[in-house]
Amino acid sequence: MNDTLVVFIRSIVAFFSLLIFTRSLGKQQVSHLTFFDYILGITIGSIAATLTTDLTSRAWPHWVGLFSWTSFVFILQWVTVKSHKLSKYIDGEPAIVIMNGQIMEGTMKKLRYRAADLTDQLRDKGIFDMNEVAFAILETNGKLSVLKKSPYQPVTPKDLNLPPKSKGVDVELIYDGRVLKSNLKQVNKNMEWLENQIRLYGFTSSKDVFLATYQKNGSFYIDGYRDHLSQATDVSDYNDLE
Amino acid sequence: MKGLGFIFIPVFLIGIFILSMTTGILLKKPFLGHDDVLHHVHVLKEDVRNEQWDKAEDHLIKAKKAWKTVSKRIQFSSEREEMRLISRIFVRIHGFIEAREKGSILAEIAEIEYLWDELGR
Repeated sequence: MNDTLVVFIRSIVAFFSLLIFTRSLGKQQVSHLTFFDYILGITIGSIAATLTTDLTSRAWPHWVGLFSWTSFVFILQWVTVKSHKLSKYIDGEPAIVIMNGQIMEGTMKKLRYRAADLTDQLRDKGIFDMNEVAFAILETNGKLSVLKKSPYQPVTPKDLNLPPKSKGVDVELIYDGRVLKSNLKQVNKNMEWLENQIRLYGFTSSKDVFLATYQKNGSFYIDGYRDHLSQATDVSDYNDLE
Repeated sequence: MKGLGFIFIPVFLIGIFILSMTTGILLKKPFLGHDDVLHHVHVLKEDVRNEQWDKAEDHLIKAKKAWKTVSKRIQFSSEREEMRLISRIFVRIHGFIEAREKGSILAEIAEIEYLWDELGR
């Protein structure tokens, strides 16, 4: 009997089971998780940890636990995707906490959401004056969505009757010194054009380039491994802490 | 082809994991002839009943050897505590044989039989 070997094998089982199970649950950003999702994640992780190191019991019951919890999450996800009504019942609904500039105290009380939480989240959105807010909605994941009053909203090209410049998505042409030929073809450019661009920006070859991107509107970005900065900005204050 | 591999690899891995965790009940059975723990324990029980202490000593050694082989096979699918307990019982039986304590040995053997039945379940 070798405890180290058993823990190692169990680690492999837990690690890859967790990887397979979480991948089967689809992609969800941590910021989009509800409080319940968060707790589910912790519970599943905790079961996987126990599966690995708790040698006083067999691995199988822990694995069944891991599988069951993941299955329940999967079922819950499936149900909420299929039924809007059940989705609202399970995940809850967004709640308006500021309506027409007025704080909805009753709603906040029901949600056990404090005024301090509201001001905190408004500051997080760059709003330091409550008078700027027309509507604030507390989303099911706990995030606050804010609609500012018209005078405080940023000016758009439409307001100024300016024709907006269409923007596309950056396409990577060089990544870590390697030319991505399929992407080059995608933007209808060739190696000759890319080499010219590299020389134009003062580099000798693609090997000197860390990242180069291209946009549909003709915008080209290039960054080399060597950064030519006369004075680098240092945001660290570690040395002053002594 | 890519999609097939995407499904096949996780399913294959999960299958291997399930097998590694649930085959204890099969792997505790004898495969090599000399690894029949339960047989050696039963013979040991008869020796003790007949108070043939030298034979009992021999069969205890054989049972311990068989257990050593089997424990390596079932270590990934069995409870560690149960396995340790069986090892400890063999040590205790050795002491009881030296002391010629028939009743204690039979009690320990009864516990081994119970634990063996539970092992890997």
